[in-house]
Amino acid sequence: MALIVFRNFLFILIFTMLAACQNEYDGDVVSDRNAVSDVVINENGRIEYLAQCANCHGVDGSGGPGGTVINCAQCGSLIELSDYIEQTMPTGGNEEECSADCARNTAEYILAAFHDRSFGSVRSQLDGLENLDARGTLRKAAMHLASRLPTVEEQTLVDSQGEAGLDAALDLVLEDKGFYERLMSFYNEQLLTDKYITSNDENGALRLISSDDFEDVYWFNDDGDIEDNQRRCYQAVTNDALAREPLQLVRYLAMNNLPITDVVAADYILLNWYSLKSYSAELVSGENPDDAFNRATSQQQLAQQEKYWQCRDSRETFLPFDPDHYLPARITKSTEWSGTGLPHAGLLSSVMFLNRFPTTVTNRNRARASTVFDLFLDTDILAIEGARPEDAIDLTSSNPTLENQACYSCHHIMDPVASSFQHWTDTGRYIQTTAQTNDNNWSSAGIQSAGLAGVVAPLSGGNSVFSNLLSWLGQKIATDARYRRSVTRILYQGLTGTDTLVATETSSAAQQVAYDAQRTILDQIALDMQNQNFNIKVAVKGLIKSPYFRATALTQNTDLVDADTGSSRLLEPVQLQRKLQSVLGASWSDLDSANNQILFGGMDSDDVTTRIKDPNGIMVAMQQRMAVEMSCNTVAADFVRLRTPQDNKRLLFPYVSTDTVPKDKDGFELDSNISAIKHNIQYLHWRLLAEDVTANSDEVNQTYALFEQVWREGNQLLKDDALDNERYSPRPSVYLSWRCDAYEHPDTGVELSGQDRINRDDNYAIRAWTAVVAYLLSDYRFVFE
Amino acid sequence: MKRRDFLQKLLASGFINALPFQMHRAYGAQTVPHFFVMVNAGGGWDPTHFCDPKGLNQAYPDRAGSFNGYDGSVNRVALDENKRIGDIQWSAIPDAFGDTEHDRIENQFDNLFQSYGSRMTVINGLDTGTNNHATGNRYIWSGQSDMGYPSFAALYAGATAPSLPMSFISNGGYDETAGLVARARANNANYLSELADSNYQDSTNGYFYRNQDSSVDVYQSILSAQRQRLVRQQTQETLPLRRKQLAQLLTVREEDANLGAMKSQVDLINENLNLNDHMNNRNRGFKTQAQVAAAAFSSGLSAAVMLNSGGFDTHGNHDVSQTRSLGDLFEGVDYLLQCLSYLGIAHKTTVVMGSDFGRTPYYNSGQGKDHWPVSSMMVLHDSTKNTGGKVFGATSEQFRALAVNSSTGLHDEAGIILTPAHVHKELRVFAGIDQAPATLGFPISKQVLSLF
Repeated sequence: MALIVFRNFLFILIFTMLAACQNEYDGDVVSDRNAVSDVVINENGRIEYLAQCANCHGVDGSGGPGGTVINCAQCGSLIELSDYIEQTMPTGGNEEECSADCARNTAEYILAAFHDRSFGSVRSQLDGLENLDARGTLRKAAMHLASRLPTVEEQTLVDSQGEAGLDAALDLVLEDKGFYERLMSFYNEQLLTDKYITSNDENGALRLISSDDFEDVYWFNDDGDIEDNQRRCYQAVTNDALAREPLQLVRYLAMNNLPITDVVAADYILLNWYSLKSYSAELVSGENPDDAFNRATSQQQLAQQEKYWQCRDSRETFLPFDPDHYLPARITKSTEWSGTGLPHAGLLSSVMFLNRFPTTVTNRNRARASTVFDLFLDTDILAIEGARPEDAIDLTSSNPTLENQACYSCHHIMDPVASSFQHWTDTGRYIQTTAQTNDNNWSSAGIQSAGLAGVVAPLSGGNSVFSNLLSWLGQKIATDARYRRSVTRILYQGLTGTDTLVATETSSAAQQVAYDAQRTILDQIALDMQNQNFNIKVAVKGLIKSPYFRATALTQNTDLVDADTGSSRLLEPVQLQRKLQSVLGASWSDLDSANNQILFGGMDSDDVTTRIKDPNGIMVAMQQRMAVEMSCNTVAADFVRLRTPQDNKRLLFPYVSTDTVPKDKDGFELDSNISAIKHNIQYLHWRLLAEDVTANSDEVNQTYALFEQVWREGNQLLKDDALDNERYSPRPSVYLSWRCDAYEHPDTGVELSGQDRINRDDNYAIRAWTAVVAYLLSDYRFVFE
Repeated sequence: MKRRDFLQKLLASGFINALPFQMHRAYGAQTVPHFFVMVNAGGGWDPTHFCDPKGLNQAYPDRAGSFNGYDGSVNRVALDENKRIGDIQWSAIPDAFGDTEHDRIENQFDNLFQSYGSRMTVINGLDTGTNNHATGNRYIWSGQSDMGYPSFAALYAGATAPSLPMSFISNGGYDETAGLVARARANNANYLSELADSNYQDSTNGYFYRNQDSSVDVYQSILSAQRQRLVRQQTQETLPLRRKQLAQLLTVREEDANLGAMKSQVDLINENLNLNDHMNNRNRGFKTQAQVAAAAFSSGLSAAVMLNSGGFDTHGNHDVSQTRSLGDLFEGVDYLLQCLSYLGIAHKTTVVMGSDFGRTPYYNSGQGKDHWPVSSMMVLHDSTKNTGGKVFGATSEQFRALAVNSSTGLHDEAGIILTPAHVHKELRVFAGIDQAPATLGFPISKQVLSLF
């Protein structure tokens, strides 16, 4: 009965929304839609529509007893319309008759036939927007995804093949180790499980694992082969492997081109040699861990010393296995309340996820369910229509969530998912609810049975999933049409720093158009990913090639874009560090501090869970300080790098030497020098700012003017009349500050011999270049990639 | 819309004529007339545990016996008539602690109300209409339960001084800016002095040459070139998103971020208001937030701050956890007020305390309290005000919001149910920003009461 009431409610709601749409849409919308590429009619959909829909909605979709389907409330999105048809059509108790392919085909037909919508290939262009060219797109993608400049190989592909080469070049970027780190960062912005890593909380993850279930959690404390002064290093490495287990699952799936649906459906977890010991787990491959995991190279060991102060107590390298090597594993050993190990359900059953989104006796996993809907089903539970009681209090119903229609409208969707978590306690332990223990306080009374989207999980009989309800839920989510959309949304948020657009019945026509355009493109990207074995890289590439990443200029006013279209995003602190390393060959030590990362808009996944997108005074001051320090640190050093016609290893100054100055000593301009300086400036604009300018452009001339001014005034400072003038105190010097000189080779760290050191700047050219680099590093384009 | 509001996006975009940062520069002088500190008690506090106590009233007899000894009362400590100042009655401490801790927490409670009660307005019986954390926190701090409205602190900073370097500092809680002002994080001042002078190398030298009186200063040439380039970029940019970002950058860069002065103020506070000696230093994180807030105001860098403290979502063992968290919070707020007073700005600073919602007027089987939509806020007026201990609004013995007279705030069946929207309507008038251009984009259609 309640279900019928709910359906009626939905019908009324949709009917109201249809009316609203009709009032809001005008001819402009159609013309905008015509901008979309060629329409392809789904023939199966047409058959279904004519057989099951046309009687109520008209052969041409323009109306009948069921009203028009043109510009209906769900017509902005294929997935939305498909889901709606699957759940509610045909009416009159026949809702089961058009689901899955039928619903999707019908939706495609409605959108193509009555809305001129295409389901062919992802659009890369929106009218009114100019996109970056292939070269610019590659550069931006490499920086966004891998925090580095394109490699020579990638660049060559694009230079030689243009747009056609972009695809292959992006494939290479998506193989970069940095990309997988970035992907984990995208997911952490949603999961926030990095709260438990050592830099935020030294024992954060280890503390969450029950020693009643896993007696070897702190295995490194009892291992006689480990020296006492090394135990904290093992602890840090183990802790972070445990903390990042959910994110490592994402990385593993991407690295191996496996379906991203396994994020919620995998029957294994990702462990390294160290965390495997804490769980006493077994590798899925059945191999001996000592044989299966890669031995650590000395370089990898040194990287750990760099990463953890806990690993610097000893100068020796001692970690036997590569901490970054993760393999699929299962927990098959007995725990306190399970004799057969744990039924894994992707990251849903991860101790980290379950603790990051905990529950209480009275919350009954509803917070977890709400999170699942938000992150994996692209559904905001709170946005589900329904009339909540005026004061949100109902003391008359014995169980408002079941009996009060206002509560039920949300809870009947949310609670079955909440019930699916019933075997997993507030601290993430697996204790079946039939176990006679107070450690799991679950009661099935007063809450709906486990399930999803109207499908109830079988709890008895031969196909019972009672003991692995969460695995059942994960499998259901993986096949739900909303899952692919949620993946695309997570990626979109990570790449652009903004959420996807949403439209409601109160949206204006312009808002609806922008939403419609975005939904069409994102839905197609999601579908492409699904069609290619749910390979998440397909979706990443789709987004990179979409106008939401490539947009660079507005050429005409259009409703197709909204105020946030484009992906100009303030670099996160970690990204900025990697960019500095990539373009300058050195990072900024001030930004290593966790506190300073927060000041620069970063997050710690604990107290600070959102990034700052807009620059404030502190961040501007930090950028300027960075620009001054980093230009000082890297300019003279770059002149140490080899530069010959045969082999040019300069990162910043491939076209000039320290004696390339604008004028000779008699004051005559040196045209070839000026030309070389401008050429180098042009190069720096591209390298540091991704700004494609010509050597005679206004911007290059402006930067040259700064170079020339600092060079000219600097030389004046070095003249005798300045040196003898008391006004010039402290006394200008031909020597560089010890902070800015080049005493070691920037790449090897080897101390330079006297003649190779650069500690003098007799003609002020190095300091003029330092000024140029500081000017460019403090630019908007340097921190907004 | 869910998640994001188009209005907010349009306001924050380059589509409309005026960019928000620029739009309000002309409206508000950069000398901020008044400061606001919003104190967020994250998780949902229990007003019956401090400013709206009910005592052992057995209001829910059908809930009695849900655990040993529970009689169905809203609280498990009797009202203490000695804990009263003006109309404000505050709660006694439940018998859930050892003597030492009990005394400390009681001291934390009593100290706040006894020291500041005479300039306090307690707003009781606020109906948030939700049991959801995100919605409740948003409603309490923006006056709007739907998404997109700015947090009051952001609105005030955006309306009065959007270009100050740290006009709006947020340490958590609902801190949506709606594009009106940049949000800054600043929970301690240790690093800020290094940022005060980008060109500082040592006491004698800059990285780029400058003489002692800075009449010769190479770095100024770089700054000048940067400024000119930024203007060129903004003029030439067509993409709305980048136009917005460039406008924000230009606005912030034009202000002189006197971060050195702020660090000096924090140092002064540390020298004179010792964290370690202050009531056992239980909530140090909150206190360092408070230091930075007071110093940022005093040095002209900030207009409004959100401070954040957690530990109030007490679904289990409520009496111990809730009371302890409240005590820590009150101690922290007292420290904040001391900082403001020490720096000479207590006379122009208003502190507003609030939380997501309230907690049930009965206990669950885990001796915890779950979510309840009725809540309270507390306003600690600037030091020139004397309310005599004012209460506006009322709740029943069952801790339900009662209709109140819009002038007196007393129970009146013909009156209105208070909501956070009423409080924000009043706050905007009180702050003098109700007619500011920034505010007009986020209307609240409630009548003005006599809250303040």
